[in-house]
Amino acid sequence: METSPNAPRSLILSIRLYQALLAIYPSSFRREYGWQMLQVFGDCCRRALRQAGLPGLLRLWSRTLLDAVQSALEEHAQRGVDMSKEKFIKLSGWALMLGGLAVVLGWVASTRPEYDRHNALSLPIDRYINVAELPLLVMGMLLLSVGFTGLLVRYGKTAGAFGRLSLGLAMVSGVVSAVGMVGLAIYDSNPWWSMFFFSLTFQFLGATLFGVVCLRRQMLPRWNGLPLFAGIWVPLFVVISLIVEQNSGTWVEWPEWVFYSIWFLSLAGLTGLGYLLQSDSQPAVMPAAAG
Amino acid sequence: MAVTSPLPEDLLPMTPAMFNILLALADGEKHGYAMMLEVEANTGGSIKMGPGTLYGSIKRMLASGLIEESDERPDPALDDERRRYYRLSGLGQRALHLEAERLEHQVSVARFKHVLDGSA
Repeated sequence: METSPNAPRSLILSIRLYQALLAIYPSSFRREYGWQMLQVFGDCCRRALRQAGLPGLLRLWSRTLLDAVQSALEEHAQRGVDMSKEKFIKLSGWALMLGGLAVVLGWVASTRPEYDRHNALSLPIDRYINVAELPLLVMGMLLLSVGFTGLLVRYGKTAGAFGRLSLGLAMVSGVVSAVGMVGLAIYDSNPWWSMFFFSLTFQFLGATLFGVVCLRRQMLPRWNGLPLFAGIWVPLFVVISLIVEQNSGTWVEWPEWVFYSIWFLSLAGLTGLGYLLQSDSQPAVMPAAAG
Repeated sequence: MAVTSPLPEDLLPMTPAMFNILLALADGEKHGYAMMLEVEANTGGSIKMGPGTLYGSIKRMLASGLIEESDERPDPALDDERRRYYRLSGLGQRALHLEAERLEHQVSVARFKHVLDGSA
């Protein structure tokens, strides 16, 4: 920054000192605003000298030093938070994709018979598939919860209270469902099955409700119908099954292709949503407390 | 990379610095130093922002779409052309309006409770 040749030495010295002080800010912030800050500080120095002479300049310095330390800390913290948030959001996008895949594979594994060499329908590979079912389902539901947490971190501020609540429901239900699955594997009893099944339904219901918010607010960069598409199939299936049960008195035995369709449609939606999330990982920067 | 604009209601309540910067820009675009002077004048000197706080707030308000940088530059003879000027965006105007309404409501509550005439 240029100063007039007739400028007082205290002004020239102050500007040089402040220029050196700017080194405490993150380099990206300094590159973007360093010159502007120096210009503003120079203006403040001229005003302070004009109004109150050297004592005024010293008062300005005491305020500026405090401001510099406080705002530099804030900028460094914000940079750290933004970077770790960005990384988490990227990873949670992958968690959505892998979680969806793990749940589908877990479900496919659950359709295979127990390995029995005398059973013509049983294949030698079923020995391994049977063992993989539980870890795949548990891991899948937990990964989906991580994915929904990533959606909350990335879009929570623009999703409104209802959107945040929906994602919260999806997150918590995923964990409860995984616990239910483990309980079911150990105790094989109805309460654990209900816990697993209904929590799984609530997990996808949460995604569906978040999808409605996305459609209303158009807050994703593209494909705003995707969360609804990813979430709706499981709750829709449960609602239809409950209605049919209500009318017929028995839980309907759906053909296998219905389940395959539900899971593969959900997987397609979750994969798209995960891809979208990991490619849009920069969190919206909101005004932080200042001044 | 897309930056999603929040709704104005999502930005409330505002910090004093944010509200006062928006208020300073309400009657037209300004550069940083002019904003700083106006905030100081509007608050009777109770908010004196340093350059770090000012530009930290400007950075965040630009990112959230509350303000935008003006493309127009003043006559170089009148001002340094390297100065950046900022103005309110549509979102900033709506958010400022809502925040002013919110504060007005709080003042009316204070008035109703006789806080302002010292008889509370």
